[in-house]
Amino acid sequence: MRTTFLLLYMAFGTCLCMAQQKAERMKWNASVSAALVNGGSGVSGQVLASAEASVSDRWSFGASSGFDYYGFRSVPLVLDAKRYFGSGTKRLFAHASAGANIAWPTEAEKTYYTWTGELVESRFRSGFHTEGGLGYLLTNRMGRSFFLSAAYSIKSMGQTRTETVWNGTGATEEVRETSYTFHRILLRIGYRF
Amino acid sequence: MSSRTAVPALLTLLCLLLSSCVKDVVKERYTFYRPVYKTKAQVRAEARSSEPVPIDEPGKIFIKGNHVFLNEVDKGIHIIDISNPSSPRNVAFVKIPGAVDMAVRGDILYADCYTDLVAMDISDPRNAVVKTFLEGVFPHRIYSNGFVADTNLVITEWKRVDTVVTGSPGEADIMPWRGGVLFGSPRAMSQQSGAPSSGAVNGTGGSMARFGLLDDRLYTVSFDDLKVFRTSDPAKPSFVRSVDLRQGDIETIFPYRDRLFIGSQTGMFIYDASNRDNPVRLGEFTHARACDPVIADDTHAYVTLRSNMMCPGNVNQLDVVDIRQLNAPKLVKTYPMTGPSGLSKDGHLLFVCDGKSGLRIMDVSKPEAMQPVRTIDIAEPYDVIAWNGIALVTARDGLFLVDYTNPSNAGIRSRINVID
Repeated sequence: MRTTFLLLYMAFGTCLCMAQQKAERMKWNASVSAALVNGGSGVSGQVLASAEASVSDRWSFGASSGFDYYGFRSVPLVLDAKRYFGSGTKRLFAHASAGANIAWPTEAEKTYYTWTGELVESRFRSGFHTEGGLGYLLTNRMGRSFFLSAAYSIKSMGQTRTETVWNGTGATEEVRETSYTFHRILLRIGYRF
Repeated sequence: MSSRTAVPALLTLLCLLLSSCVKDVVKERYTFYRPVYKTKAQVRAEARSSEPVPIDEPGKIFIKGNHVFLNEVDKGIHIIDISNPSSPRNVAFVKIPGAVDMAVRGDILYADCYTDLVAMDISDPRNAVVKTFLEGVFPHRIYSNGFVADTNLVITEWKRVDTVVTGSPGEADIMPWRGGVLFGSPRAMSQQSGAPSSGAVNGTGGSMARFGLLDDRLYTVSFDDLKVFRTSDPAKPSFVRSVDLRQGDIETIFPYRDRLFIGSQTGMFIYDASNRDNPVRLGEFTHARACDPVIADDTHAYVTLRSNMMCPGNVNQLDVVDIRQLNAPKLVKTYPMTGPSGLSKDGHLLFVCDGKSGLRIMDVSKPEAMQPVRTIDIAEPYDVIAWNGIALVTARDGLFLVDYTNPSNAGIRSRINVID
């Protein structure tokens, strides 16, 4: 995981360096988006805020963060890359992002009842968040855009619980480690300005 | 269709089509305990004594003469020689899978072997011999949570299993206790008051017992009934009858003179056993729901109530009950406790195993105004038998012999530790 982040950081740094060399062409944008997240565990939502730098007419790089409610609530913190196709006010784009998925479970997700009726709190571990997909960007005369994208995303996290287990002669406490890897399809709608 | 509408429509369609292809993955690493089965024939063949083994999971105790019988929960019974209380000696181990209760009459050891009652000759503790097996007399020793033991198989040990399961959230999220096994009578409880009879002499049990001896009868309690066994010929116990106690959650039995004091999670029940084969209910004393062993003397009964992970409720106390009118027991006083379980009485001294507080010794000359005498620091004592100046105490850490010949200066005289 650490190696992945390091590589992403290096790639992102390289892109920004390239962007600085072409500073006259670099343009900064911000965007907000909301996504319908659909997977084996049901339908949920995600909201993201992004900042991106267009280093050329074709490429832009940025970073995003927000809230992801699929499975367990978490905060994705990712680096993005976009490749645009075509020109004009209607453009297709492909995008990819990767980064950390910071666990931020709600109280209801964090706590659970043991069979003795005791309310116990579990511990969560952060994981990774990746996404890749295709989108469609519509830009108005003011230079502001709406976009719609479809993406495949993976987010992971872990949970540690202490539980009481019958060992044949009495109850004993054992640890249960659970790793979640959520595979989802996202339909995202956003506004770039 | 223009591209402005066609592309979003295509992307939405793509989402709809692909959403059925994705699946979440949950990987769980957890521990459970798996029972190891043997047939009853195999178990019977293995029921015999062996060299002494270390104490691992101490359960109930029983004493007869200079021998202490200490249950190794679900595995068998340690026989410990305490003729020298300063240096108790583990002399033999009688292997009886499924044993949690026992009683000794003469040279015969009675114990439960899961659903069966076994009688073994222990005149030579190192060479115990099976005399009788009474099959299926303890049907309450089944497993709950939807798991029923095969009637021809018994569990001889539990193996710890560390496992990793991968699946979708609905499949993998299986709590071990949900799929695991629980006894209907978890680590039951046993003590008894033994009384001598013509011929063989009965031993004495602790207050947590489900077995009790009264002359030549062995009484056992299960979830909701009382069973009577005739032990005139100790080596050949015979089932007499089962008495419906009209009450569930029965936990302990304490025979005293012609009475049987039966402890349940909701009260104490007094039975008249003048007719040894057909005990009849005399009276009852109800209390808040909790685990409650009981002992008694001529005038009072002492009931400990405890609540913890295995016992429902939220009370931890000692109730002193006036039983001079057996059909109308009356609460005399309640004393707050930490987490009381087994108890025993010798003369005016009452011994109470009181959870984290240790072993309490109290003067009960005036039951309505008991006075603390001394508290012995023993971690989580479970059951106690006060006997001739020595209190035998089973606890989480082993068997303790507490010298109370001078009660105000009572202390641990010796101990046998459990293995680490």
